[in-house]
Amino acid sequence: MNKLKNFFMSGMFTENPTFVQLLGMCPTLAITTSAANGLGMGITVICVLTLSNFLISLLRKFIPSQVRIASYIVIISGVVTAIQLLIKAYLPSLDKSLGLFIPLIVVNCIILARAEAFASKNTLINSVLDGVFMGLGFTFALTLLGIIRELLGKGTVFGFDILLRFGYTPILTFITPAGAFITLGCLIAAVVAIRNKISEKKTKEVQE
Amino acid sequence: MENNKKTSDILYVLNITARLVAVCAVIALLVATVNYFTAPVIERNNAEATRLAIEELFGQGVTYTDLETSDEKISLDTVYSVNLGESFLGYCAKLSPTGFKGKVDLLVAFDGQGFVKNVKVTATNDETADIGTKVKDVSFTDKFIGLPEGKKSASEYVISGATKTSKPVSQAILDATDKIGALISLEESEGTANE
Repeated sequence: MNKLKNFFMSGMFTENPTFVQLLGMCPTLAITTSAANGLGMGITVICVLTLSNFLISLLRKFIPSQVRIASYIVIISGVVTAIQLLIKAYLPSLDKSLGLFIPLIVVNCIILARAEAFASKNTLINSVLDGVFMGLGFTFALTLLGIIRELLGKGTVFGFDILLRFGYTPILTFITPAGAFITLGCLIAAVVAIRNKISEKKTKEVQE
Repeated sequence: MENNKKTSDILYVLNITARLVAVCAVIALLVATVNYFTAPVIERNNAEATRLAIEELFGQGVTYTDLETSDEKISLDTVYSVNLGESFLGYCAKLSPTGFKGKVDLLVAFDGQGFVKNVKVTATNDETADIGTKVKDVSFTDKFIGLPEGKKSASEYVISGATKTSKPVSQAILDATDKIGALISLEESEGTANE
């Protein structure tokens, strides 16, 4: 139970791939024009991260260290291709929304970083758990970003009218790249402030 | 001694290469297996999407045939001949011009004389939401109804603030009107020749 809690806290907060590690910024900024897109991309990344961590951990003793990066890229691109085909076949509307950003998951730093830093050095179960919870952290970040941008940029959340009924005029900047940078910057600043406060509180407790 | 070292180096490299090839083979097998099961489903989805889009333009119950035109003058991505039972309704051109970030997919419906009946943008793919995606609006697509009558240059049809998407789309539709006109002329001359 403790192990699960540690993985959860790590993926969602202490080592969140978006707000703390600042990985995968390209899809984070580009895809989060709506909450649904953010959630869809996040779920896709959970599948890719979990499956690639599983395969890399399974083959970690077979893959020579001299060609490990090339092997990881082959595994990750194969997994992304397989998942893209499955999405095209069974979730065509999601495929239309995410478009080019599904194949771009291959070069998403989060996937390669977790493969190199964790899956290649840990057991199968731990690697799968790491993939799931890091993916959850990424999904949480993308969905939150998507909700804020869609709310301020269109007045809706997941397509449901939240602010338009009150005569709200959408601020289109929030669904452009400039708005993505502004929103992400504010969220990262908030996360840093919270982490600093927690760190100060822990230091005071230790001193007492 | 040196020979032993060389042999050992070669075996070492071969070992690494063989393992990398094995990993590639396993992943290729995984992708091939997924493709085997999903390819028919994807093809069915695409055909269904095309059928629904053509029915939206021409009405329910129509049938269509890919003309597979090879003549250079009338080369279009895809042209369908659309019928309702025995009656010939017109043509439907499938276009994919490149917009601001990627392809914009659209269908243009023509009547039997080559006049534009309707335009439907089926996918804006990577165009910017609420800017490039405005090409889907009826206020834009309705501008082309009746063409080539009163045809102007592509710049006259663009959406202000979304020219990078709307101009290539406009140009593609204008080019399609020329090519459908050439197709109709070709079919009429072939019909005259057969008589």
